[in-house]
Amino acid sequence: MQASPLLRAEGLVTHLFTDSGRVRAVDGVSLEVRAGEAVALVGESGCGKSMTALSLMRLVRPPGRILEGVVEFEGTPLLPLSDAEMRRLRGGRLAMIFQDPMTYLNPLMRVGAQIVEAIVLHQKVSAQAARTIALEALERVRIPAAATVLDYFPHQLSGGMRQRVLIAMAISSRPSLLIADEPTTALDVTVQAQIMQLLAEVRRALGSALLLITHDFGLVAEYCDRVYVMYAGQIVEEGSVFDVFERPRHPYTRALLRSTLGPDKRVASFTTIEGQPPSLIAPPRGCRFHPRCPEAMARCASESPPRFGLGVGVAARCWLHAGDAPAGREVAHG
Amino acid sequence: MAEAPAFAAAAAPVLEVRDLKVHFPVAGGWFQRETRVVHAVDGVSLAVHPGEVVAVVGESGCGKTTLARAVLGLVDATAGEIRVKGAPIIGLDAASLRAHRRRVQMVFQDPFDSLNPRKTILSTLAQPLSIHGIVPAGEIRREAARLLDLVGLSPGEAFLDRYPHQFSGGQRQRACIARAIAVRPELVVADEAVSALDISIRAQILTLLQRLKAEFGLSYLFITHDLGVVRSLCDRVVVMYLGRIVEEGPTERIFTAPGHPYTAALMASCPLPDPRLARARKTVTLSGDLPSPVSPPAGCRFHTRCPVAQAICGREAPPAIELGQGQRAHCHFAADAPRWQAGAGPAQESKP
Repeated sequence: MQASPLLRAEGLVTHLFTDSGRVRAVDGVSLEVRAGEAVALVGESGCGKSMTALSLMRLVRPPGRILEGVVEFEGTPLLPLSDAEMRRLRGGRLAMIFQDPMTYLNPLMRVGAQIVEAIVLHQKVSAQAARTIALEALERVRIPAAATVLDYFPHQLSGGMRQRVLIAMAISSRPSLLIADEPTTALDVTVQAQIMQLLAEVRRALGSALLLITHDFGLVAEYCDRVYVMYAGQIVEEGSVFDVFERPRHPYTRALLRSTLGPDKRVASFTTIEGQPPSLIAPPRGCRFHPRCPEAMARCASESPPRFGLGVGVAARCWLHAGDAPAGREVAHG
Repeated sequence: MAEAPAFAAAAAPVLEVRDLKVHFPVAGGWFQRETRVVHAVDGVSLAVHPGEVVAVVGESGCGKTTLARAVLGLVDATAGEIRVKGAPIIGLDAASLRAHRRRVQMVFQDPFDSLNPRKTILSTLAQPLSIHGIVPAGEIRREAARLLDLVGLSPGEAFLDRYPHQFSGGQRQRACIARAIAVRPELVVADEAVSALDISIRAQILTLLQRLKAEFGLSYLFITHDLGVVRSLCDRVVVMYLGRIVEEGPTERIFTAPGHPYTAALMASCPLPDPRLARARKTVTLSGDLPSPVSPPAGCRFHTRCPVAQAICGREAPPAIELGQGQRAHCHFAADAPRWQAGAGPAQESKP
């Protein structure tokens, strides 16, 4: 493997202390993103992928709390940083794009003023210089008549344009890592393609890495280099997109991929995974997938499987691989 | 499902829509004094035959949901005809409209919004059963339990007295489907019925819809933006853009040999869950946003974003070009489709 990753999380644990109980949303997650690469964190709703992203950015709000683990960004441990130090990092070297741009744009402030505010906060430049940087950023995300758009209010823009504005804000500080949480879920498919290709282009120009949080295996296959599959608060499989799509090692990944319908082929009968994802207040003992797993063995109900390394950058959290893993490569998390 | 649909042209369609227009007035201009018109559906014709699954695809604002609502009798048509089993449904009196509502049922995208949170599942199911006199009053509970068993909420008896909030998303969608089939409809209009569901739950609901279709001889009008679902579930596809049909035909033809540049762009924009295929293909990115349906472009409505548009496209609305096997594309250059798809078009971009 390469030297030190850009972002590294090790044994991250974030729980939500709700009235109905303790939700183990992130329960021992380890992942890394290297400079310039596109990594997906994929899973179904409620698996903890968004909470993982918020934990990496230290944006977890009560009742959620980061309890354990290490997050390192560019070699700096993030969890011990003060709130002020963290604010300087966010929106600077480490930027984030969310699903619903309207939640993160101030409806009463002109688009230009919002981008300028963000730039002045992070780059110690004059408002005039910031306006120039904002204009460049809008042009880079191919907003037509960017100078006019600077004076628009967010409601005057379409959903795709708002997402472009958010991307412009995110890249104005030339981040080394962009975390994008379902950035195109609310958009139509042709607009989604525009935005994803724009992200790829901007990343190439700036050399930024991407951590894409998504439920869509199509986006993972199309735009990412590596993928982490998440289920019930844990990473169950990781590998390059070719590894994971062509030789999925975890029964959950296999079932999900068989249930994924693409426009490229007609599936005569749908493969289904019985049941539904477990409650994260009282997750199943042993492997969290075992109640739904077609290949479950006796051991799966009682012992939680460790992460079995199965080659360079390839790992699965499943007892089926207990025999395959090279000796000494078992690394238990959580 | 897998075999090609061989519908005899002779079979009378369950649903027939002819030249349907649905226009909405909207206030605009200074002090909302001007009245302008949204051409939500602007001259749409289609048919659904018995046992057939017809997809209506398109992006937001294309009019697909308005079309579904018109078929359900939930919005008034401005012009045109809608027939169910040959009987017109526009201009019906209240009693006939009720009979129509029994024959055509609906399943919506959001199972959270489409079940009354204050009613148990039993009372949600009891209402249509008694209004339409499907079973005698004394048998409603048993029938409701049977319906829940049918949709995979079993044992049904155990679910009858629960409220929607006690159900997961997938279970709620099953309950909505039970309500739709309770009155033994002939056509089910499904508006993004599986779009909000997770992959594993979506596959379960699609399996259920397929099974119910086979068991009860149902037909579906399937409104969706999800092309993966369309390819695997639907027999025929109707593609809409800004209130009009741009292309229609058998599913396999539409996916493998689209005759309209918009259809081709939709296909090319849809992410492929296969890293090798995804990296190998060329992508046509449409520029710009959807024009306003208040003042749609003249000529071909797609010409402002079309990668192969010529001068004629801005002047003349294209006629329907027959491409064989029931495939029709509304494009001046549909006959050239193989050529512009191969990259001969002026504005093709390869993917970055």
